[in-house]
Amino acid sequence: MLHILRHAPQDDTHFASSLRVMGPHQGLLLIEDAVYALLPRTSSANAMQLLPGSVGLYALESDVQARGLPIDDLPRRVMLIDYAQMVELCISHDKVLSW
Amino acid sequence: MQVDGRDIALDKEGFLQSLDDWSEAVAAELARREGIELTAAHMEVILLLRRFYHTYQLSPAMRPLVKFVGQELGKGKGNSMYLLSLFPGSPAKLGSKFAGLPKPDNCL
Amino acid sequence: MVPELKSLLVISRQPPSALAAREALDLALAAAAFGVPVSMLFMDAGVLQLLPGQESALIEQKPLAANLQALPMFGVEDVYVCHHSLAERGLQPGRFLLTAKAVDSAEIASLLDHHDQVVTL
Repeated sequence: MLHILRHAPQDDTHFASSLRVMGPHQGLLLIEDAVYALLPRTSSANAMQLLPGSVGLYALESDVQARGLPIDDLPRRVMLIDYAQMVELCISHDKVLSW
Repeated sequence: MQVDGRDIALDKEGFLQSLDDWSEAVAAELARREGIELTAAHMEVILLLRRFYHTYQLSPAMRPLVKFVGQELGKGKGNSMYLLSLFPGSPAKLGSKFAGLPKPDNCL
Repeated sequence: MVPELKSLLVISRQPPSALAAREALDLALAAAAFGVPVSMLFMDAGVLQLLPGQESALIEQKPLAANLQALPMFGVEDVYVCHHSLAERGLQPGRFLLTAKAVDSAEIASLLDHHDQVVTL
């Protein structure tokens, strides 16, 4: 299952909820304002670091860059992807859940 | 449409424009326009439809109608065969129309 | 026979502010009217929908309560509510508009797993 988040964790409770119900071997893709979860030294960035290593973490690179987030200062395990890779990611998971 | 000298406004599918216009005489006239002579058995279901609407603020689709009728009038009447015999074609739609309710949203 | 797809609808917004709350309910009723099996999970702000006594007409909104109570009549019997979301808001299961089973995070993870499609509104 791939969880797609689109709202900033600072404004919306869906971020916390999705982490709470995330199973191992699932994926988490941040798009739109959800990429603010990656702001360095925030509780959301820490929370993502604490997810099991088997959870795949992805963020849409254009959304990250459009918001001026520091690419060099993102958690290392987060993979930045483009739109084509986002489509592949959705297809490769049996289920997609948009929060 | 005229009933007892009153003008009753209908929409283009023949449903009442205003729920408050309803009376048993209005129901009988609405049914007559569809070629159906209302009996006590019809009216029993029509009054139930009005109760459904007041409780849930919805016109029932077929499944909930069957369930509600079954719950209130017993299994003998809570089945689609019985309702189809009273309201041929589409019981939820026709019944809602005679009961003066809006057309059910989720009705083909 | 084609196996039926089981759907889970996650309700996570609360009226009056969010139109999504109304849309979610309409979706559930429409699906149920067409015989699509639907389960519902109330979580996050969505749990607030279940509180009785909401006089939404005072702020010119159509109340959801009557429609919510119609769900069992439409055959929607599997209704769940997130225990964590309730606790965050100081609420306890029970005395809701609708009978809902309180579930913890692990049970929600398993609900998400066991439904073929999941829609969040």
